[in-house]
Amino acid sequence: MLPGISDDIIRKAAQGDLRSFEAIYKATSGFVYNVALRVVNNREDAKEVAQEVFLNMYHKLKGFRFESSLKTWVYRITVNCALNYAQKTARTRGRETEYRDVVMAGEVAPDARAQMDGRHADEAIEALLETINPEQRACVVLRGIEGLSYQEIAETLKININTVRTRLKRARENLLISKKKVADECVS
Amino acid sequence: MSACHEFRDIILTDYIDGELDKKVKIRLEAHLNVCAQCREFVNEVKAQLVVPFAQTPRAVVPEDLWQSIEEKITGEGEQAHPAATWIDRLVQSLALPRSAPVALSFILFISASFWVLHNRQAAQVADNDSGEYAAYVLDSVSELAETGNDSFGTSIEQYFL
Repeated sequence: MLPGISDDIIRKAAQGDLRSFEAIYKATSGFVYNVALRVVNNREDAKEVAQEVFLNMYHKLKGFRFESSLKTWVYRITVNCALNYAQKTARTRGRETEYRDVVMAGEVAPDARAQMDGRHADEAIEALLETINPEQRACVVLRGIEGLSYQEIAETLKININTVRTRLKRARENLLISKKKVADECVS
Repeated sequence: MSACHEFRDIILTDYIDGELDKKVKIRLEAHLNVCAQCREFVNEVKAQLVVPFAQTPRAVVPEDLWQSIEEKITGEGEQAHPAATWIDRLVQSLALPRSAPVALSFILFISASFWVLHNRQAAQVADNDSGEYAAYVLDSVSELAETGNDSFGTSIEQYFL
């Protein structure tokens, strides 16, 4: 259940009431934008995805049957839009190189680290997420950043709960390998 | 070593995510008490894969996002029903009630029906007139043929002939 969003507001928004839809936007835009940002891993793209998510929501709300929670439904649309976008704009840049660059930038400027901590952490996560595929990224983001349970992730992505486990395991193995590679390169 | 391998998969998923079954958790923690390598692995996974994501700063939603969404929705509505919008505007500007377009359509329908019926009657009258004329011409021609007199007895005829 989303705070401040009653079934009545959902029904009004489904009938095209823009003010009710704005209330839903206010309650969900934070996690929609953040999930989109972490899956597509680019701020401009994330804004475009978030816009597409809300336009989809506005048109599909008539079909919302209250069988799942609105939050799960919104997460599902967000992840689907973000994954579609990521597949369309699949980038061919060197992912590990980018992560290494971010880590080394942090190592090179230890004095500035206090001021840059937030920005550096953000860039490090962004670069680290680039080292795994979008499906794995979606699972890592929903679990690690959004704090969804395995069951909620399975419902959101419409996949088996064991598939959630497998994706998380492979993603984390890949993340550990990337981190180790970069750490070894930094030492040498 | 095989126990370590089995537990490492669980550590990477259910254990660090707090999803582990109670019985398996007791077995795993008993193993961790005796296996330094797995303890180290747990610490590494938490430090490298749990803490950084949990502490990821939340990005601020762009301020103009709602505005662009609202514009798109409003624009779509106008594109989908341009005629309706035009009629709505006309009705509003004339301060007519919502039923005015329906009443107007009804009046137009009645007028068109009346016009069609009236024209059909006029056409029938015209048909009758032209029939009478054709009969008169045929009668005149046959009369001429019977009498063999091809003169019409007019003054113009007499002048020329």
